[in-house]
Amino acid sequence: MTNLGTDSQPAVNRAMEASAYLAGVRAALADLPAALREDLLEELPGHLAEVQAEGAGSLVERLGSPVAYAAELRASAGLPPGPVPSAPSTVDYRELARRCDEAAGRLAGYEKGSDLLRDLLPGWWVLRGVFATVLLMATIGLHWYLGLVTVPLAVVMAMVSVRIGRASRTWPLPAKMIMIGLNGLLSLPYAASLLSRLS
Amino acid sequence: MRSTLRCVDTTQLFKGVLDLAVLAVLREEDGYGYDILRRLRAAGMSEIGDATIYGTLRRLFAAGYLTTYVVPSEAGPNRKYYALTLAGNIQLHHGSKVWRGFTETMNSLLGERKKP
Repeated sequence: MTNLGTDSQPAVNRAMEASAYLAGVRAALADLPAALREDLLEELPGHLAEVQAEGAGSLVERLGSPVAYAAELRASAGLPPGPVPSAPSTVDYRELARRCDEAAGRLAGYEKGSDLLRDLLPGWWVLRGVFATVLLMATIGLHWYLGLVTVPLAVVMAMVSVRIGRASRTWPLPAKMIMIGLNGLLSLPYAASLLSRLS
Repeated sequence: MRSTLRCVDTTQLFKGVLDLAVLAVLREEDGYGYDILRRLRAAGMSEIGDATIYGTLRRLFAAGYLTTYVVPSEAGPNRKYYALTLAGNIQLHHGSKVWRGFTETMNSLLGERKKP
C-alpha cells in the first residue's frame, strides 16, 4: 500500500465501493436469467463511476440501497417484482410435520410414518375388539362357563370392530368424532387400572 | 397516511408520462443514460430515480422506439447512446397529441373545481 500515491487511495476505495454496490444489485436480481440480468446491469458500472466522479456522498446516499435500486430497475423495465426473501423467524409447521413424518417412516422402512399407521389400522381394530371383550367379561364376572365363550366372543367382537373401522372411513366428521370419543371411553378403565397399579 | 398517498400519486403520474418525456428529450439530441437523466432533471423532473431511467430506456428499446450505439468514453467504461427510431418519432408525435388533449381536459376539470 505504501507505493500508492496520495490520490490513489480514494480511487481504490471508490472502485471497491462501486464493485460492492454492483454486486449488491446483481445479487438482488439473482432470480433472473443470466442474460437478462447482465443486460440490465450493462450500464451500471459506467453510471456508478459518473455518480462517484461528481463527488458528494456515498453511492447508497445518492442512489439508495442496492436492493432498492434493483427493485426500481425491475419495476421501470416492466419486469415482475423479485421474490420476497422469507423471514427466517416464521417456521413452516406444515413442512416441519411433513419432515418428521418422513423421518419416522424411514425408521420402519416406509416412505412416510403416516403410511405405516394406515397399514396398522386393521391391527388396531382387532385389538379394540379384544379389549372390548375383556372389559365386558370383567364387568359381568369371570364364571367358568363364561370362560368357554370368551375366545369365540373376542373373535366376533374383533370382526365387528374391523367392520366398524372400515365403514368409518366414509363417515361424516361428527360421526368420526363420536367414534373417537367411544374409543376413549373404552380405554378409560384400562388407563385407570394402569394408574392404580403404578401408585 | 396522507403523505404516503401523495407520494404514490406522484409516482403513478410519473410512470404514465416518463416514456413520453424520455422520447421528447431524445428528439433534441441522442444521449446516454445518465445524460438523459440529467436533462430530465434539469427540465424539472427531479423525482426520477437513477434506476428508473435505465429500466425505461430498456423498455423503450425493446418496443422498437429506440436504437443504440456505443461510444468510447475518455474516462471509464464505454457509453451506450440512445437515439429515436422512426417508430419512436411516431410514438412521440402520437403521445404528444394524447398528452395535450389530456391536459386540456384536466385543466378544465381542475379549473372548474377551483371556482366557488
